[in-house]
Amino acid sequence: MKKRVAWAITLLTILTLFVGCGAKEAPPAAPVASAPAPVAAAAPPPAPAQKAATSTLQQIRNRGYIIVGINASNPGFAYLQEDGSYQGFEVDLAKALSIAVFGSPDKLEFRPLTSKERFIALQSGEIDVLIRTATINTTRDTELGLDFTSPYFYDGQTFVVRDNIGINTMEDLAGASIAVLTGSTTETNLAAIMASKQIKYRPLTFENLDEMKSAFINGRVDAVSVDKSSAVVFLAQFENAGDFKGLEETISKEPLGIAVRHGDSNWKDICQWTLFALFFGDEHAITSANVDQVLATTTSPEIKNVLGAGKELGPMMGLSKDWAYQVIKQAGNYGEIFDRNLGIPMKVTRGYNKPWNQGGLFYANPFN
Amino acid sequence: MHSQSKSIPLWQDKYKRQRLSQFIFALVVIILTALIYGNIVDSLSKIGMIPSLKFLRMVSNIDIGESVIEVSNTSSNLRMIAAGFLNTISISFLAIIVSTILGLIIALCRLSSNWIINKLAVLYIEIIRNIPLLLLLLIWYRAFFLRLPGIKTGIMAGERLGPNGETLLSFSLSNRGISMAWFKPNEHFQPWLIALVLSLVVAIGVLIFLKRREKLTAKEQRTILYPTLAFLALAVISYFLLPNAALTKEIPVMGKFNISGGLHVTAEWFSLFSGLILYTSAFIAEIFRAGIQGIPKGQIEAARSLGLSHMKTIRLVIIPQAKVVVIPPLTSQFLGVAKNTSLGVAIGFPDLFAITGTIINQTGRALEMIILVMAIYLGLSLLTSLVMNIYNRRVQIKER
Repeated sequence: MKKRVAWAITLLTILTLFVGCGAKEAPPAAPVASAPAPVAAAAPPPAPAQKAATSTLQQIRNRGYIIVGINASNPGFAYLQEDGSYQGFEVDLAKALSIAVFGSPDKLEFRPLTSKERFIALQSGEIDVLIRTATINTTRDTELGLDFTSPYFYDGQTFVVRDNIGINTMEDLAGASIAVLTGSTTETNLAAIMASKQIKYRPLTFENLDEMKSAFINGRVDAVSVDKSSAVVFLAQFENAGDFKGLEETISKEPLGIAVRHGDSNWKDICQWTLFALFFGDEHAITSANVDQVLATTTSPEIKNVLGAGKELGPMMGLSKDWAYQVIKQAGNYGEIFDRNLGIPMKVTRGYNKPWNQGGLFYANPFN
Repeated sequence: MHSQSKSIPLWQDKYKRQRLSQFIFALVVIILTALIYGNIVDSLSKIGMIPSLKFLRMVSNIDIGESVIEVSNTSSNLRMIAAGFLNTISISFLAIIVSTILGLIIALCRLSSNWIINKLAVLYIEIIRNIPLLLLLLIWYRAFFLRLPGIKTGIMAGERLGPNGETLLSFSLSNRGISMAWFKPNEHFQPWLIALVLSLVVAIGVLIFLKRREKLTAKEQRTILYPTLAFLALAVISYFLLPNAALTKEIPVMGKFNISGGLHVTAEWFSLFSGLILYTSAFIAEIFRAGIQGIPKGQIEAARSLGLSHMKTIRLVIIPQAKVVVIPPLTSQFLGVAKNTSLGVAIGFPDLFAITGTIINQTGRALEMIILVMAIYLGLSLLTSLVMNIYNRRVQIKER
């Protein structure tokens, strides 16, 4: 009898736990669907930010920091340092977001994720934003319940091979063993292009970049299929980099975008326009060094809008008036971030990753 | 007790009380499940992902390294899962058989009175049992297989030039794996397959005949040797009697990058396989030792006094009694093998778990896939338990 009572109590405890969970989870989820409705009667925050009540932005404000999904082992893009901090191009984008929301670059918590885990972490609400070399495509945008900003990096897939065995085009790889990271678009691109060109090959999929590297160096595979930017970084890490080379061919388009959960347009707007602010700085040669001078001397109404001296654009999405000024001042413009992380240390060329007026693909929509 | 229950109140009626508590328990479980399920579906629907299994029919878009069945990037996700499942069960089935045999040998070494053999077995068991399997796999893969010479400079046997100037090989060992000449079924395989089935029927017939004779005459018959011989003889004779050879010898050919043709065992498959048998056999050896040592010494002494030879003592006295003790823990080991294959993901072996992970990432259907995979592993385990339990019941000593 005593045993049974104990059982009942345990069960009840578990039950209350679950009910508790259900109750806790329900409220933040519910308003997401009804977020656009400007009712928000019980909203305590400042008047113009009504839209954002209990939205992702509000959750971030309440929490005091942004949780960012990131790669821990992709030198140049995002890499865990010896002291436990992260460094790289994508880390600086996250810092720009932190500046836009909080005015300082350190209100961030990084969650290192593998390519397999990343979307689940975002879907389940474990992270607020994913900046982890995620290629934008239809399935991810729709089926996976995600939303993407416009690309922050235009990449393309290629192969890294040994230099001395006479491989110059993809056709030369017939019959070869090719390693690829699992759970990435490189995996599906490789399968698709090889099938369409009817090139037989032996795939070998790895979950971990280090495992893949050691298989390649030891000659277990003849080629590795990675994005061009990764290929450069990949080669930069080898001691005898001269023995290897990347193929000229590009087999896919890989536009990398910042991913957020579907359904919260306000938070997506913030990510998108922060990115546009970085593009804008690059486009008009406004750098962290000269931003104050530009602000003092400019006569352009759009530059004034961006830097917070004209139309009050920030408050429209729940940010401060001078958010874009702070972003450029503290993080630098897109070009500065690129050079700092990829251009100078990794010798990655800009390619398409330039503003439209310099022959690239970045085009900041008008700030008005 | 049942008949008296009308008069006594509900809370004092043990029978009714038990039923009631069971009913409440079932109710709580159902409610909990419904709550959890509702919660999940709710939150998923909010981000526009209503749980469904439609994605199983969609094209997978991925290629996998090795598979028992034919798959390509246009195969459906379901077929990919099937390919992973077959990889899992084929490797675990082979690993179970080999590690049982290896485990028995090690157990016998462990029990040997020869000091060196005995200590070597102790060393093996103690070292292997205390290394995590994942580490064992990584050691095999990274420190052994990947360190082997490359495909062109690897260990080769029987190199010769073919008729078209290509290099033929009989055997090759390199960091890509093992390749060797192999007999493969061709288009004339069907008739021989029928002959094989018939031979098997004959062999079973012989077995039944011998068993019956053993019962009638009370004289020991060779119930393993004769049926096996009958099967082999019939199989060989029918192979040569048939007008077309059912098997073709395939000789590996060195290509520009890889060896094609013949039997090819990849480095990943072999690393996983060897890691599994090393690890499992150490545990199985200890199970066997426990079973053998659990038999009272008097039994063996009695057998020897009856005039049974050493081999007969093992066969007729030790094994029948040890079997009973050994089977339940052995079952757990077998169950472990099937689940441990999932560690192959670390070394690039496309087993069920690895393919599941890829599909989750490509389709975003984490919940459905995890439930599916749990169901598959559960089914596999239950099936293994069922087979082992049936066997266990058969060998249990009948108490009289």
